[in-house]
Amino acid sequence: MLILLARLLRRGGSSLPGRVALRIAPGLLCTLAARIEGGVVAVTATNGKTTTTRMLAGLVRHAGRPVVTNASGANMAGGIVSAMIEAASLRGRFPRQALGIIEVDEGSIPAVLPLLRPMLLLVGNFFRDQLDRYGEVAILARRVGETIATLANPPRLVINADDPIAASLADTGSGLPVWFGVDAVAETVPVSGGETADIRHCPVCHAPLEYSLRVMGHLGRYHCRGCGRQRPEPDWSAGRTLALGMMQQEYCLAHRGGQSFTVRLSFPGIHAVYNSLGALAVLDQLGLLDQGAIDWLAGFIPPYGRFEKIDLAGRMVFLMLVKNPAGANASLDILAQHAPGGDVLILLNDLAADGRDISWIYDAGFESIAGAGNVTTGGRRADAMALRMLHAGVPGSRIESAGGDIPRALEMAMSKTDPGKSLAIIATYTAMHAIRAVLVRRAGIRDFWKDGT
Amino acid sequence: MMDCCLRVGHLYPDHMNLYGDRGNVMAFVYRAGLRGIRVSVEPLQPGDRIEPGRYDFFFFGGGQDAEQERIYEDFLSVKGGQLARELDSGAACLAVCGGYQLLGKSYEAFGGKIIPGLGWFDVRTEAGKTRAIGNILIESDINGNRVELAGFENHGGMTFLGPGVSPLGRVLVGSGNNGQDGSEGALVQAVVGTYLHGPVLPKNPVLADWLVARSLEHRYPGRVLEDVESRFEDAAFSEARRITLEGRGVQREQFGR
Repeated sequence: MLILLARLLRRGGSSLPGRVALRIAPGLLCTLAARIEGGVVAVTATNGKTTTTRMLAGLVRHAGRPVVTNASGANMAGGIVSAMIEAASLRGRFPRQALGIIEVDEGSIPAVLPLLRPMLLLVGNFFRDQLDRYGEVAILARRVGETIATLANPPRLVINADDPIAASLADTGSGLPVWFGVDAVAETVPVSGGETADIRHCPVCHAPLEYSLRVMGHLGRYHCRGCGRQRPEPDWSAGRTLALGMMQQEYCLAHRGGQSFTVRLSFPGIHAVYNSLGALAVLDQLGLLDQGAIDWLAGFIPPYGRFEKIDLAGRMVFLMLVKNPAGANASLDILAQHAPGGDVLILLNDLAADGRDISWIYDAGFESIAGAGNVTTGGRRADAMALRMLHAGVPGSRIESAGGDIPRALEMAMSKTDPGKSLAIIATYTAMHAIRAVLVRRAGIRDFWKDGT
Repeated sequence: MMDCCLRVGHLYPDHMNLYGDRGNVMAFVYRAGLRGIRVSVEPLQPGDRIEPGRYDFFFFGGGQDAEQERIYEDFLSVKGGQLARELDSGAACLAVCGGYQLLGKSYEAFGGKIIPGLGWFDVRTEAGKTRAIGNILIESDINGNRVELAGFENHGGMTFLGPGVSPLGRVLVGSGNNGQDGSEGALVQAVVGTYLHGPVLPKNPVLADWLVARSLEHRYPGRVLEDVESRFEDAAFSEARRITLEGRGVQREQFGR
């Protein structure tokens, strides 16, 4: 009955029906999760959780197993229940052998994990994100660890070995964790420097961390000068990373037992390598990793706004979603390397989903695109963004603020970009929704609710 | 003024760097640069000493709890006394959030422990029951002119001013020092303590210029700062001010859920 009611409330991918259902039956998430026969895999991270979840759900589906997943990225309790209601029959049942692949907002872990009771938890990374929502990174990680440790049946953890904060959760899960990490970075893959690293000290003893390899922000091969803690040897590692133009790359995936694959990805950046490493390590735990999975991955297109390429009136438009300094730096580095001197449109909003506090734009290294052509800014904080680009070294004559009107910002930016040239659009979460709505109308691209999964 | 050179001491840039804090240093350097004043910025890390008379401006940002603990010992036993001596002799300083609290007499740490600060400001900080989080607008008196300053605040501490300390300003929207007496920040000589980040200097060029002017006065007594164009800065301030006023009356977000 509840399922029927919730279905009637359905609005593609929103968390509304779930929130209503939870109000009526608070135990619903727990009940539904327990009915997923194959068990639940939870995915959490500051950056890359939506992409990783999509990738993993696609891989599992490709292996012939039914999947229950929150593909729209609604990753708090309400959104997760909505997704389950969507996948359930009217009697509240799921297909036989179904696997749950559930993205969980890192701040919602304490509320959601005890109800979801996953068998596997993939921990991708902890970066400084919207501090006004979650407080400090260390407190957040501690809460996640405490939650896992108090579960009656803790999940096995699949952890990014290169992240000292994520690695500090190792002892909270069941048995030994499965580790994944990047072993070597080719010079051709953009790497973010340590300039704006979020974490510089050991999460356990607080002594400074030293790196023999820094991959991205505070991710890398670290060791602690104080307690001697070091980056665990990965079970699954990525080596020989190689960029093949702006949109493609490949790397060698190796298991410490000797098994190896050449993985090809159709989207750029070292963060994409991490996302796929995590997904493949989980897939192996599920017993579904084979060459067919690797082949499928080569054709995977990330969710909307993650380096989406669009032809708009003869201009090549790239869409990049930014949420926090670490994610922004990864995108900015790719842009600086592959489209130097191109025009840029930056859309900065400050609504709850973007983070009300926009001070992170000064933690992100916009200096790396100071050589951009024309810079247009838009969104609720268009003028703050314009000032940030001035401080980044772009001459004032090349910066223009369009104010809060996002369609107008696109018009202004397009008028400065000649046909055949590229325009990179960098946008925060709600601004990305807004600009995509404009592009759906103008360029006939897919509405993201129907995005390929 | 091409012969002018100012030196900035950035206190613990690797530890106290919470909310885009380095943007304050960027804005200081940029505003000075518009007047042809060269600025060199030097990090002051744990173990470094503050050479007497070397710096004209100090910046001290906020930090995550664990990072703040890391520098506490060094600050109280090594740099604090050296910094106090420089501030007494007229160097300018901007201290934000954690840095502001550390310049005060004491603050209450997580768990209720009272921790002594440098005591340069006669202020003390208690732990609040909730965090003050949101856009903030204050009015201040700078160079005899009433000005407004805009920023974002995110702090669990409630700071109370002693009798010898003037606030930086009066709260128009937001919480400020303690959410009770309407005061925000502290201002003594050329030293500003504040909970405004965002960061505060880029979009408040009046405050940035005042700090540059005081730094210039410290190095080259009698030199006056010339007016410059502030089109981008003024637009960013107006935008922040408008959004803050629009959000007034909206329930303030609080820490945790």
